[in-house]
Amino acid sequence: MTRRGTLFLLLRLAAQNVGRRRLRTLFLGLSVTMAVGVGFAAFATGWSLRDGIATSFSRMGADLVVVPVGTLVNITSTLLTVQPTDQEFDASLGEKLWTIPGIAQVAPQRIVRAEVEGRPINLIAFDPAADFTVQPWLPEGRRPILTTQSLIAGERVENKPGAVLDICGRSMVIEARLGKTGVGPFDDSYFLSFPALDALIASRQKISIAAGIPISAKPVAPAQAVDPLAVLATHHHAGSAGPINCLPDLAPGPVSAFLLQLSPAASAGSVKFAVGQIPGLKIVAGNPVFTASRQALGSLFWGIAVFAGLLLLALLFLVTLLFSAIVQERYREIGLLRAMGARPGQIMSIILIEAGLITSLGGLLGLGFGLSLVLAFARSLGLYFASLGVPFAWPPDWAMWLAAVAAMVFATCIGIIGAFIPAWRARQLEPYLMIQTENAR
Amino acid sequence: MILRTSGLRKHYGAGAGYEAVSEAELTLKQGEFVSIVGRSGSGKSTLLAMIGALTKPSEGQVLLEGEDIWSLPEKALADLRCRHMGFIFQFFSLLASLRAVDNVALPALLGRSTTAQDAYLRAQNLLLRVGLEDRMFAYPGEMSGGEQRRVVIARALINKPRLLLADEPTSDLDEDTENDIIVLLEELRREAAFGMIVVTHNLELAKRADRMFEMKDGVLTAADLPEGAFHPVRPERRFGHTKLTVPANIVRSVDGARAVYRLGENFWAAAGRALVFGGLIFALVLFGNYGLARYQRHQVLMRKERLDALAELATSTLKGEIASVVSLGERHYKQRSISKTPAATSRSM
Repeated sequence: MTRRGTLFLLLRLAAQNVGRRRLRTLFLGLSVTMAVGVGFAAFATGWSLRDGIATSFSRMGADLVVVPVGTLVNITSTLLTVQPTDQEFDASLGEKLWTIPGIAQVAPQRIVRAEVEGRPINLIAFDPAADFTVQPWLPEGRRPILTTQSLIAGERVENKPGAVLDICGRSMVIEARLGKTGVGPFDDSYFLSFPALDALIASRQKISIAAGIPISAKPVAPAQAVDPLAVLATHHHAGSAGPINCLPDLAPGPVSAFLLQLSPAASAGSVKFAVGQIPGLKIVAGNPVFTASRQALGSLFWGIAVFAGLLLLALLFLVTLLFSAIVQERYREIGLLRAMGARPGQIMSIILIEAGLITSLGGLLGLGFGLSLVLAFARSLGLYFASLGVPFAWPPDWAMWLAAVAAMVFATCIGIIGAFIPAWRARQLEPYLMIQTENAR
Repeated sequence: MILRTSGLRKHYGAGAGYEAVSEAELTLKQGEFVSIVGRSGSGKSTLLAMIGALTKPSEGQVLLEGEDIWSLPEKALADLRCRHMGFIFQFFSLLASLRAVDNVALPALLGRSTTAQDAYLRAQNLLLRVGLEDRMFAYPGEMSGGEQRRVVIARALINKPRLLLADEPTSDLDEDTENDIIVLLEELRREAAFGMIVVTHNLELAKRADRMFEMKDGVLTAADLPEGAFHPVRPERRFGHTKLTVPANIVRSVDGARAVYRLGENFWAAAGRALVFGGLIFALVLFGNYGLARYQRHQVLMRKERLDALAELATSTLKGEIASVVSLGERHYKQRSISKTPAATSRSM
């Protein structure tokens, strides 16, 4: 018989044992089904809630904002953000900020004033990968992939998604519209990625060169709060100067502000002190209640995750205990197999395959059970949270698949690991001892 | 000489402990039948276990065809048990989860020296030989004690061992069945010429041996066989077919290795049923969820429409145009709108 044939035989023998001991299989399988189902559901709902609540808290803005000295910062009850400013600093500061302990996220933003069809607008450039204050305001499930020709409109901007704006000779498409923040500069602005802003700056420079105007490559008169009279004046001036007023004469690179999010255990005071050591900047703190709540929530989720991990560990001990009893109960059978010529490795394989089969099947059923729990959650508490304004969305497909695979691997492993110690002990014992007594130690 | 033990000793516990077997010397020739008698606890089963490579002696050697079996590594020892030894235990030692034919074929399958086809063919052959052709697919729980013991004998012989070790092979059996088993063992030994060591406290069985030993307090001594003690086999209780071939109808019904594919089919069937049942439940959950989600969306939509209508109403009230203002007295006027709010409102100023 080949090695493959032997493995096939061991699998069959294990399956035969599992199939003939139905009650034991049923209860062990059910316990794994419950554990995997609850674990999977906890992951999916936890992710959804964390995401939803994180989004809600992100809408409260940054915990801290680092701006050049002299910049105005808008602190409202709902969103800590930066007022349009001409103060800027180098983007490399972001790397320094990342090194400061207690900072979980650093989101750069650059605010500039542009002109479209004679009307002044605020453009806010942000980094979609690091951002945590702009994208949370997007409608649920609508997070566009931003290209160098994409814009996101604030809530009060008249143009609707799909509209095309011509800025400095570039056609910019409005991909999405943010929800209402209640913060004027935010709701009136257009948002775009840094590469998109750089493309606009390059386009503006081409226009300047074509018009024979020298490029200073310095930030010039970026946006302040939009003043209607200033708009009229700009409009008249623009009419005489042509498309050169579409954007100030800017250099690509600088940023207007860094928005900071603190890690769960960080103290805002300590971080402010550490950041304050860097000269030439101003630090503004947001609402401490929001910061504390978000940090507490973050800690709570970790606490729940640790708690769930301990529960799964307890399940592992239970499976070990159960298989220890199962193997002891079958000492005579194992001894007989050894007397028939079964190698110790074959004995171990039969026990481990048996455990793996039961727990894998339990895990597979557990996935269905977990998905059912998630659906029940979505239809009950999910709806309730949604009615409170806390968004509830399923985790992304990749996360669900990853969780499903992890749950299956966990289910199989818990059986194999749980049965390993009893199986190892069984292989160490003399066959005669096992045959003589079913309670041998 | 196929077997020789030398100074075999088994000591349990530390220090003085307990000496189960002391200085046992035993030899066995090809095809020879040796019996060991003794009272319970005299150490005869322990001696048999040491000879059968089931428990390691504290001292001494067990030489099988000149090779000390206890100097072999565990894997080689397992292979030796599988290929050269057959065991019959005093208790019912079939694996309860396997059918008779699987039980018999198992040592051959574990030994990896033959194909599943051959293993099952030999198993059927042996079951036929021990008179169980109609019980091949019975589980141990469905068989009588005598039938089970015959299955065990067939299993012990599946790998054509040189040595058959039987520990109380007729215990717990009634007299007739006991006789059947004794006759069967003797017949098989004559046919296959394996050496056989039988441990028993049944003197009738022991007397059938070529040589008899007595075990007392762990000490093995040769015992004289009484003159004329041997009881010939009763011809009326002969077993089954003498020709070791399997009838075609049985071959067709078992079809050799196909039987191995039936192992575990209970599990796969049960797993299939569990998955189908789980799938049905999940489909019901999905269906219920779909219906509930549609209902909830409808409710949310209705609520939104209601709120929008209220908002519209509030906005339109604010945008309404005043058609007329009528004085109702000092600082009291009546206002009437021409659009959106047909009802007149009155207010004091």
